[in-house]
Amino acid sequence: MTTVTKGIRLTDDEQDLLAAIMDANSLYFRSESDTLRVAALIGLRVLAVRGVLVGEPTPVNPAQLAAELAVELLPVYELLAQYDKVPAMLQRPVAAVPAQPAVPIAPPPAPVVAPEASKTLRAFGTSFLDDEDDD
Amino acid sequence: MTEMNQTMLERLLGGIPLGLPGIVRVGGSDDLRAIGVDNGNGHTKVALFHPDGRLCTLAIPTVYRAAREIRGGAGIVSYAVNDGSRFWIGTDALSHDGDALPIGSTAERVSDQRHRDFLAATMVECLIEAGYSAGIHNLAVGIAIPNDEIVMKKQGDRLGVSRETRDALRQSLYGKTFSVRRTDAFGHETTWVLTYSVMAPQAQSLGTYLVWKNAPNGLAVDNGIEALTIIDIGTGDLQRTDIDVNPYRLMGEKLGTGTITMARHFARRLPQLRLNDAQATQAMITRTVRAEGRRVDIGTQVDAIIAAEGQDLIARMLPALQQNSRFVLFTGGGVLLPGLRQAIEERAAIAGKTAGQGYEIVPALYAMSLNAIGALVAVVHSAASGQ
Repeated sequence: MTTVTKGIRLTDDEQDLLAAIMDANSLYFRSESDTLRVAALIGLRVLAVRGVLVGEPTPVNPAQLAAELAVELLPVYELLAQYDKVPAMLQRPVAAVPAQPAVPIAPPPAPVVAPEASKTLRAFGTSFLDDEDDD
Repeated sequence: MTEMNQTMLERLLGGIPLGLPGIVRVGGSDDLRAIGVDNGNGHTKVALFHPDGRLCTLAIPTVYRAAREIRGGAGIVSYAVNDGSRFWIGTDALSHDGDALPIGSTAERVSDQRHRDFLAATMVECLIEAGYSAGIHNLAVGIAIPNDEIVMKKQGDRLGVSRETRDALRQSLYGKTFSVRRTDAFGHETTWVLTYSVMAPQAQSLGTYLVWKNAPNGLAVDNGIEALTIIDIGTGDLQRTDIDVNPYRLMGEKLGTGTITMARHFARRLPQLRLNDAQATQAMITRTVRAEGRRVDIGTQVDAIIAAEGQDLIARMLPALQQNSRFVLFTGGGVLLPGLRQAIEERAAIAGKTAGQGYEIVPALYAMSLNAIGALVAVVHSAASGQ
């Protein structure tokens, strides 16, 4: 069974934009239909976000969708930053930055494990390879 | 209910984070990301914590296929490890006639380069699933190994990893770095550098026990059960493990092959589809196959196979169901098959056992991943205890 992508109408300006995108990304796109398909896939992911956010049943995995969009949207954020259009909710309070002391990115949380926990593990033969003797 | 009297499985089912750290230090090491792996014959399961502490699990069919060039349209996620050839994994590989990687002992499997590459790619997928970015990831890996690779040590009377398994892990994975180039469906490439900085092998069924019996702090929740039998219905093996806690005792017994037997019967019954082991196994779970380019519902045929061939599997579990001295816990990918789950419940009722009192079937949501979660928890607990 062959799946035919629905045809879409483009204005002259939009055709020019398509040609420019293909020129700038000639390594990635082999044809107009190839380019339009990738554009449609990116667009579909963006549109799928609306359903995910309102909790509608959707065939996409939200975490996977977020991971894929994170890659796709990085250039978008860069452009928004260049033109000072980053939404306020994504901006850090400027005044707070100098006051922040340097901290490790991910400090280990305080231990919540009982000291006896490893006794059970060792009793059943679980240990780090470093701790394993040679019989 | 406080943390002390709620098991990890109860918390997970209730949507409550375990509250365990995702970053550990072992023996003066730098920060390491804890990760649990259950390298199963049918699916490889991985578990780790999101940055916000939630648990993330992933099960990927243990299927590998050399990548083919995509000549247009969206591609397939592909991987190249340490500048090797590109390959596909999981359902992508399955839908392009990929076959399961060979089954066998840990030593046999990790000595196969395809298997090592598959494992690294699977870990990358789980890191992505949990929201982490490409780059350098130093890992503390808890790895679930077959129960029969945990043996009584010659010196003393304690249990430990068999020499063959330990040597194979040291030679092929421990301390090794895997540089994974991942190319997504749009052709974007990212590089993930994974180092297995420390490794903690663990009997696979012990993972299930830890999550089912213990609170997040590692202490057992007193449910009055001192003797437990775990029936792990895997793809390759059906395993029985008896666990006693006073004194600690773990006895494993292989009860023959797992659901692969049913999958092979299924493939033989539909010869026109030419399903390999991995495809047949996946078809039994999804209850669909792709035939002549179409997705076809095969639920009726799957039910018929389970009703007929599943009886053999049940028969091998019967002695465990019929004895009255131990609580019986059913887990593994096999309990995801609704017909098999129902058959177990029927046989248990005939044997006079009541769900929750004499036996329990791990809820489908975690049945496949419990051993990987247990391997993750073991790493965190061992590191926190300064072992």
